[in-house]
Amino acid sequence: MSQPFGHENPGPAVAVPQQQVPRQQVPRPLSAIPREARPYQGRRAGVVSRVLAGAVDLVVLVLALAGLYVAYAALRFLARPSRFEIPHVDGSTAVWIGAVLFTAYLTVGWATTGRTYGAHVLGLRVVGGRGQRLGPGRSFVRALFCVVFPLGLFWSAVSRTSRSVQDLGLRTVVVYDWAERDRAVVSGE
Amino acid sequence: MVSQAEMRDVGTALVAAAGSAVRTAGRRGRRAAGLFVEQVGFVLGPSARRGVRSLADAVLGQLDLTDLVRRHVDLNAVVATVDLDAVARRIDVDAVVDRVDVGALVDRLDLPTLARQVIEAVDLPEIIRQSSGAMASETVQGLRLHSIGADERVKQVVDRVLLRGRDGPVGGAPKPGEVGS
Repeated sequence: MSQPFGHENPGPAVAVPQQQVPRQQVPRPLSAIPREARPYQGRRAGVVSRVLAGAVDLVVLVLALAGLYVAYAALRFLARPSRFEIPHVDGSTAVWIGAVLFTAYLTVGWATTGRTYGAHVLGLRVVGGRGQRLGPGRSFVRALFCVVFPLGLFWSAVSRTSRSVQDLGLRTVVVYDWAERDRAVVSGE
Repeated sequence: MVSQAEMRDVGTALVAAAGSAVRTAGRRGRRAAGLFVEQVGFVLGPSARRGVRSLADAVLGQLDLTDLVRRHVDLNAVVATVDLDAVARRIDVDAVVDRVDVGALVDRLDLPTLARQVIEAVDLPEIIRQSSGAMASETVQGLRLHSIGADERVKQVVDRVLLRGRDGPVGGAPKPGEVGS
């Protein structure tokens, strides 16, 4: 295994510049991460974890779409209960709504905490090349890229640096980061 | 004519008388000498004592007694004869502790580091997890660990297929400032 960054400090998911102060003055934060997982913190995530995170996100998307559909049907029922019919949504419309919703979901997740719910479940975080949090613009472009070309994710299985096509294009990295709080941005931005 | 036996009796009597006289004189002499010394001491005692004290001070002033003791006295042997336990029992530890500035002592300790080391040694986070962890968090933890293991295995297979070295495994750390590839 290569030496992971953040090995000594399991919290941050990215490289934080060494502080030129005695260690006693800046105590190392206690880690709630299990010992067996600490060596991996901050290291680039592999394809399996990323695909699983994407699958969880897809489930979230499907549930959100279903919720939207039910809400839409309920509104229609409340508006005209006597002539209520189960609304029909064609496939292309559903795909478009799903794509927009998924893009927004990914953008918000990456721009705020660096991860979506799926990434949270799998303990992953999307950060910039220097470990900083992605800005809204880059998050949006990356989200759009992922929605348009999801197969690009599988390039991370082949890439020597575990990067997907989206990572290569947007200069982003997906790392293992089990820390609950987003401490990756202390040195970024 | 005095017989030989009579002469012997007279001699014996004379010797006895002489011994008695000498003993008496000795007793009287000693009594007289003691009385004399007593009288002289009464008269000359204070000045003589002062003289002796001055002489002793002068002599001791020329000597380094500490050095003499160090060189000629086996202090370990002396100390070995001392009942240190008895001495220790006589020490009022509470009084000693009362004189200690505990606050200053505590200030000298790096308590955060000590606490951190203790917490890490007993793995307090793991104890908290085990005592309060829900089934869901255990499941998530297991899922994460298994996915990391799967990532490693996939990477090994890919590296083997592509005849790549293991210098770029899963989780290869991006260095500060590294972008793209």
